[in-house]
Amino acid sequence: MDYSLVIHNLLSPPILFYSLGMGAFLLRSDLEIPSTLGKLFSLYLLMAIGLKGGFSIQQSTLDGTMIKTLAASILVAASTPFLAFYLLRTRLGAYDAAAIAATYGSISAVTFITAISFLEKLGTEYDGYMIAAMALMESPAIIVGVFLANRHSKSTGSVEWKSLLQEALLNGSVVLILGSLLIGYLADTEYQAALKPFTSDLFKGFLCFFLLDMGLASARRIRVLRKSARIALTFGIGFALFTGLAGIAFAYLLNLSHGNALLFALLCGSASYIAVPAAMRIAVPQANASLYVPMSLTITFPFNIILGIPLYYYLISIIW
Amino acid sequence: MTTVDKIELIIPSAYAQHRLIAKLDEWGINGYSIIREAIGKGRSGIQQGDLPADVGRSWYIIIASETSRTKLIVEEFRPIISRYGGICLVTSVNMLIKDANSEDRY
Repeated sequence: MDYSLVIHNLLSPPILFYSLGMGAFLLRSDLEIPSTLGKLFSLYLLMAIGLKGGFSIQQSTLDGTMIKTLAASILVAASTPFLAFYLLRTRLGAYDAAAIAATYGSISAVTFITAISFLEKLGTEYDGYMIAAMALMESPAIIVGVFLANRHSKSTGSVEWKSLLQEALLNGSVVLILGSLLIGYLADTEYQAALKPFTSDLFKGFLCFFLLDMGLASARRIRVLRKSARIALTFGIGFALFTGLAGIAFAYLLNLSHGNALLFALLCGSASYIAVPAAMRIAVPQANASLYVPMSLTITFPFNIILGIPLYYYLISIIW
Repeated sequence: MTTVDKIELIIPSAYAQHRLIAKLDEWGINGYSIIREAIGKGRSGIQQGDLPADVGRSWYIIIASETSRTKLIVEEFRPIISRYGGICLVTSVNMLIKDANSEDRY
């Protein structure tokens, strides 16, 4: 293992700010970021990454690899929840198993964005269509998760499928990322240059700020996880690692570049803590949000951004 | 001063965000105030409200209802609270409002 990659990643400002947020909470500092600012940071990051992706797609041509990658992304996002559900069902009730399955079938945009920052620091290229893949992987798991909860529970309550589909397909992050991608794709080169300070220069600063906020949010949930630490740790790391490694295998079969392969592996191995919890709160309110949100945010998210990114990149570098 | 019932509701914002306003209109509730971003602690643990998503925070809704209508309004909220969580408090209060015929100008 090339430890320089781990150290390079650990000492990057976004990861250090994440650690600062966790440390500040654990040391009982009064550091706090207003929730509206946290929301602004996340909207900014989605918009900036969408625009960047759109600019990049404009410069590339539609090819077989792009289409295969997008199709594989949807397939992985729709099938992962089935595997997660049947693994969890032996230990948890149908509602909790379905909500966690949806969480781990969907993706974490911030993990993806942190990986992009890592690739840019290394000077490794990636393609803009990976951002489209990310947007496409947000929703299928929500629909599958609700289907599983409905099928395996004894509840007679019916699901409002129309509302659920609206929530899954038109949730704010999906709309913003796909909209920004399209706007970036349509923007002429003059506008692309004019937007560069917004999409590039500010990007890392906002990412640091957002990860500071996420560090605080992660640390706040450590105590909640104590009750279910065993399953949370085993599944939160074990399943993420398994799906991340499976993502590398898929990326190899798809003949993706190193940069694209890392992003694909992280999309497969990450878990949602924004879009899915919001949808599950409506569609499967019986599921325990105190379990599936901290599992994703406090265990899988730091595992991926601290160890997953350099580990997967190292494996990709030695495999092809 | 008029005697009315004060109905206070705490409803998870994930439900309230897209559905509650339409329901209030549907039930003929024409006056209400809403404070968004309420956080606290309940049966499902601490609601941190610190994520950029509609999880872990609630809307606080206050409605002044004529006593005769209160029961009907509360019954409308019963299934929502049963499914999504939240609370509904009803108290009898005195309400001071601007007289519709008043000449006062602000």
